Amino acid sequence: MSNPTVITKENKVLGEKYYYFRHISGLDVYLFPKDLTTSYALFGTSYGSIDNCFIPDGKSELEKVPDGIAHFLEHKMFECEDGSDLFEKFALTGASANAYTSYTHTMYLFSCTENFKKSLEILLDGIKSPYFTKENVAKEQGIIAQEIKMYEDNVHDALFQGLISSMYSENAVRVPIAGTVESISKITPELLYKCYDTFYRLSNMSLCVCGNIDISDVIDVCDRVLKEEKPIKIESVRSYPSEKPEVASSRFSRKMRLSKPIFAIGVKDVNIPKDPAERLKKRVTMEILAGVLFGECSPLSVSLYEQGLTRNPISFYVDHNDAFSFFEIGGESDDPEEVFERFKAHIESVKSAGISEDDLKRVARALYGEFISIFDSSANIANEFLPFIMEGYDVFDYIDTFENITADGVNSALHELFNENFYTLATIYPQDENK
Amino acid sequence: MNGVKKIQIYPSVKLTAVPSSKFKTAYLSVCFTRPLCEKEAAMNALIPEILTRSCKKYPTMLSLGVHLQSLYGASVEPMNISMGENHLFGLYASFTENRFTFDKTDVLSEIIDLISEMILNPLTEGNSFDKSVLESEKEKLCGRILSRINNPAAYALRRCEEIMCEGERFAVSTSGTLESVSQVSGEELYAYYLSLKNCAQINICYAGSEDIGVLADKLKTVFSDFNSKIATAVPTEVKRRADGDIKTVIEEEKVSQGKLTIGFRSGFALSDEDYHVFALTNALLGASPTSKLFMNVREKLGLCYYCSSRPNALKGTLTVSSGIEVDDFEKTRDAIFEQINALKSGDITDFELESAKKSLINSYRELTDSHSGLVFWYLTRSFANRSDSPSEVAEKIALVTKEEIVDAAKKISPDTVYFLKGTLKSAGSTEDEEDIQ
Repeated sequence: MSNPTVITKENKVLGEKYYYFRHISGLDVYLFPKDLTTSYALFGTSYGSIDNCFIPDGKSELEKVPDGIAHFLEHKMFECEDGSDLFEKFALTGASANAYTSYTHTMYLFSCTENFKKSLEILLDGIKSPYFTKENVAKEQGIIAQEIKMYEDNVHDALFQGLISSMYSENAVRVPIAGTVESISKITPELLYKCYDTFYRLSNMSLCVCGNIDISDVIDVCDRVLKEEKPIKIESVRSYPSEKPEVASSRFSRKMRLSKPIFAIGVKDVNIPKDPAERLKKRVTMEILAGVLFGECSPLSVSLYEQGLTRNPISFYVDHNDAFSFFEIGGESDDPEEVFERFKAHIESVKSAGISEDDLKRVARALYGEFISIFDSSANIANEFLPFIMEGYDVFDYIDTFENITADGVNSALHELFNENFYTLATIYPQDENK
Repeated sequence: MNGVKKIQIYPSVKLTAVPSSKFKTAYLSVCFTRPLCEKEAAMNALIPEILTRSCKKYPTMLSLGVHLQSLYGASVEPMNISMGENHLFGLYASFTENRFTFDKTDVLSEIIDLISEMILNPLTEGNSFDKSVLESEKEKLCGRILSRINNPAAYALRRCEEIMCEGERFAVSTSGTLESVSQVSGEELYAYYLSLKNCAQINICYAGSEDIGVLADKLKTVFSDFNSKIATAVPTEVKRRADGDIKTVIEEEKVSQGKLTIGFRSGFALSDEDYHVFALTNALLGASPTSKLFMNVREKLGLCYYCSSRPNALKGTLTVSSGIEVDDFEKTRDAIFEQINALKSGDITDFELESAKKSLINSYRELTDSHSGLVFWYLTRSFANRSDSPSEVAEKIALVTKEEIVDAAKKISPDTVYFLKGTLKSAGSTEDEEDIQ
């Protein structure tokens, strides 16, 4: 058995710790010990839907691949050369397996209450053994077409899609993760191998396991399944287009079968720090800022709701990672344009009044309370942990960063981030019944 | 191992508690329980919304929101569900365990205080709930009823259940209807609310690290007025077989994908000693990764992205749902029936049986890691007068034979085929879009 150097990282307040080691194959492995019945493994690559233009392994020129191919690849990784699929292999261990693709990563996972070692072997071996044929690609095109149609009928998915494609002109986040029925029809086994060979390198992947797990079992499985690979410098392979600070369009609107208009306001941000620690600080600042500005006890949320302009308190979401960054504020309203006006006025009034230390502390405390609930589930820990790692920090860094956020920092972020040129309003209105 | 503790606080007030110290967050819910019925459904649906929105002590959203944020982002949310043909409505809270606060806040006591304020001292004016709160909640509820179509899959599933169970309590929506919601007056609702003390069962559920005896004492004080001696849950009417021909209902909507839901009478109810045999039959049919529906209707025929089955254990129904091309309606329906017939004729491989068992046993064992999952498990079982644990049921699942599955499958009878027919060519087509810029 190989004997990697194991590093322990601990957070005393939470009473949590994890172990890290780099396996000889080049894979980074994280083990989060938890005294739970369920064990969970998450194996992922820093490769998502936005990686649609890159220099394939062994080539020297940039190539564009069809939209939705990362998600398509995720589906096809379940197929095995012997005609079975990974679900069938996991069925013998009792593990429950799944996978998902986001804009920036693809993750494969299982949870189980026994046979962890065997299941981990199936997962690592399965993802390291691609098998694509003309026939199995054709069959998947039909299945994924139905998946895409399901998203297209979902008004909330359609609203988000409208919002993000109005915010961004060039960045590939403007395209749906699953692509379109048309784009996936162009996918071939050769293209799938091209993407796989470039991005499914162990040096571009990480494994997080969580639960009542013996570290020597994990090392043993890695030793048996993973071969040493030449590392790839992924930064020199990918190419992201540059994106202007202003939104592509300040409005998006369409009609669908729904009962009341829904809206989403987007606030685009292109100033993304290169340094992970700085990026984390900005992320936490943005999360606290959003809590103060749009949380359930913000003057905006309260007044919109109490005056009947929104049906529920508005919801909000923040995404800040190395590829894109934005705020989203959404809800249901008979008059989205009026909500948009109120939103803009609210921002200006908070800019002149400033955000107080008290507001900041209270929101930070609530965020902390909500965040620590992830440590109650091995699945939630891994699902939060690995995307953090791929961003260059960990969950403990995240909690520690709260202490370094000051009212001054939040106020200056408010001035920097909120500017009319960065705003988009996306709406979906009910269809006329007789049309 | 998590055991369940049941404490009868008063004749009509019951505490179901799962003591556990391995979590950082705790769970507490309080639900009134009444028979599901048309006359009360709208009122029952409004009460949780009104109670969790404000109370005398925290009369505005702002004051309540600030209080919850300072309690480490604790949440108190409305709860409105059915358990068979009983209507459970009230609230649930999730909050940080005291030992993970940095200033020794007693979050649990604060939450019990808040919940008791919400239940005992809601905002009122005269003999009515606060009129403006009521009107706004009525409008919101009507909006939710109208937006059911926003989720076509859930809409189709519920329409199928409504058609299948027409005339049974189960067909009554826990949201009420647009008409019944708009007719609720503040006085009537408040009088009804006060009467719940005498006619509703109170189900309290807790999962967390507090000593259960100590918790029960605190709750005893809060609910001292709630001591109805007559309130009991109604038994759910279970139809063991569908009668007559299969009903087929096709409705059109402006969506692009067709949603097919087939409703069955399962022939089993959770109160049956051998219900676990049916639970396994369902896993084999359409509720595990290697189920017949997944492997055949999706993987082999490539007709859909999802095709799965889901039972209602208390009502004794089973629904199979899938999202498909509109033109594939008949083909998919027949493929689903074919898989059920395969079960009935014993076309079950050892691999299928073993993997369904492993999958189901795994999901039962995983439940012990989830507060809300465990609480829901025991609450559901209490309506079937049983309290066996997930691990106990898992042990029984391991022993089920192929013959038992075949016998169970033979009891499944199709009742209603519901198809929500999408009439859009594609949701992204340009004629449905207009850029107003």
